Amino acid sequence: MTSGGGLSRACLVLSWRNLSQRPARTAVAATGICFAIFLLFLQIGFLDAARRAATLLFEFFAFDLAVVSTDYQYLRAAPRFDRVRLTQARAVPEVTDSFNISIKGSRWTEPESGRRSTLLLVGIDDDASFIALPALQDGLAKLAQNRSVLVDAFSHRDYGDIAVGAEALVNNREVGVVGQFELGAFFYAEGAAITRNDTFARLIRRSGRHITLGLLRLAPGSDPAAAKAQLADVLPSDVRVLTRAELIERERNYFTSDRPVGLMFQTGMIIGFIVGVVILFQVISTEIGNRMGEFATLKAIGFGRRFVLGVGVTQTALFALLGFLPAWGIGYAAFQLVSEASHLPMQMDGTLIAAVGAMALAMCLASAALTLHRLRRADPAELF
Amino acid sequence: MSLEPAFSMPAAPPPTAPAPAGPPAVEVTGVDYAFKSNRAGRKVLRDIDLALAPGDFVVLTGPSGSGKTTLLSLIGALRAVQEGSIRLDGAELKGLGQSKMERMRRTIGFIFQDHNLFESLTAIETLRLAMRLLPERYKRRDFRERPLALLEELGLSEFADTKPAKLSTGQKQRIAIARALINHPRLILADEPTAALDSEMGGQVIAMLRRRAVEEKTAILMVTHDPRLFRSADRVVKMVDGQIVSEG
Repeated sequence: MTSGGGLSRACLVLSWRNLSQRPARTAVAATGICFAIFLLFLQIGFLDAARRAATLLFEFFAFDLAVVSTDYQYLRAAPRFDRVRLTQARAVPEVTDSFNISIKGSRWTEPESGRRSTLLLVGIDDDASFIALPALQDGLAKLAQNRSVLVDAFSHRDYGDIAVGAEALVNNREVGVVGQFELGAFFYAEGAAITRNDTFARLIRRSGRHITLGLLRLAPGSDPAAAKAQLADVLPSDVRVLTRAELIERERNYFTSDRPVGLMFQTGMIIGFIVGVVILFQVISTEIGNRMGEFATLKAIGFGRRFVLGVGVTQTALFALLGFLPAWGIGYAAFQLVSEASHLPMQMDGTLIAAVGAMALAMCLASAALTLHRLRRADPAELF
Repeated sequence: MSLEPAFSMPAAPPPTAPAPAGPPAVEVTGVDYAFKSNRAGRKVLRDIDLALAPGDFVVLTGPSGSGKTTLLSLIGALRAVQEGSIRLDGAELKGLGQSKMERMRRTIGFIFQDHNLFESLTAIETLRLAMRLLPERYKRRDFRERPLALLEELGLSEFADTKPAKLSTGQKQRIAIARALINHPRLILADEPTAALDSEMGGQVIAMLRRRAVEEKTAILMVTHDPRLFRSADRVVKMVDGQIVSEG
């Protein structure tokens, strides 16, 4: 065994023994740290779910490029543009197909009670090749009937009966439910409905000439970036072209950076981090105060400053780990509950775990930086 | 009340062969020391000269405040030498950087008046931790066998897996002594090592230290106020007001 390896092991053993010496006290401290890390899991989880939810609709469609108004900020309030732009786009050889999507914030009225709710009304073309969601593909054929809509199964309960065959009013016009899909348009409206563009135009009482979003499909093997550059040359300046990834990223960033919901979760995340640093600081500070003589003894008998500091850092990291593991488990259970209750797409995936792990590590380093300078005061000369 | 010693201390062996060749274990020459916090610059050590050959057992005594522990901490590389010279096995301490002083301390066995054990470690873990300071000296099995053998020598084998909280003061001090001895130091610096021990155990500890001095040529410098320990020493050095006033 090398000297460094032996000392590292000794450092780990001593740190662990220090922690396990008083299990009850360690458990209480770890519970506090667990709470802070659980807060981080929740806040980052909500933020991540909000980002996913904001772009779930895009997952319904198969496309390579999107055409939006130059003033596009986010889907719910996207300015419209002339659909002739899609015809112009097809002048670029790589563009093989196009698809119109119209969006309008509308009003859903439950006919029996007359209760009104906000609605995200989506109009789409009758072209199944652009539809990626099987439920929507199945429902597309049923939308051929006049006044028919597919309704989001996750719509608010105020929508009343949304089973197939149910009737309701959209913008005071009668519609019939012919199918359902699962979206959860929480950040746009209390519910969503999809219909064909011709029905959409009748429901919002305007011409179908202007659309919200144009989807383009490219020939197999085409480079989206190159096609996007060509389209920029062809299309007038009232529209812009985004790749699929750019559209999704733009929408997500808008929700997390520009909307209050993003700020709210980011603030919660920062508070969770600060709470964690404060708890770790107090725990480690007490621990170091109690063991000052032992740290001085380590220095006296020949252990270097790096070893002594290593014991302090390792103890801090072990505390963080002791808090992280249960927080992960509790967080997973909480995600399941929230996801089932609200249909928010909360996912405890590797990225989220790594993000919270990195924050817990940063928490641990920050508290160590605030605390461990005290170890310098452990003076071995004072032992005699 | 009898003035006779309550326990019998092993007497110093008669002088035998001449001192071994090579540098002294400790060589202190012209050392002065003043604490930086003392604005008046009053020296707590003045012109100290002291030498210990390998195997010497020297007692350092004197009233409180006479500079004994300051001298001990300077020889132990726990404080930086300001003026004069201190050499351990020929190596100069003056001017050494922090990390070299740390390395130097690994070759010294320290016995503090308070045991200063690690509360979370068992006796055997305490000794193994000390062995990790000099891993190149040991094979894997030494980490199992050597601590047990030493604990047995100190009558502590049944407490190998016991933490300090469940030990008596005397038992703790003996484990602290074992920690000082585990790496075969060339020099042991002890500050009132028997203060917490009963008469019988104190006698045993001194006998063991004496045996180390003879068998392993370990130089021992022990601070004590207890005159009963003087007869165990090769020499008794008395300090008053930062100076050595007698030696013999």
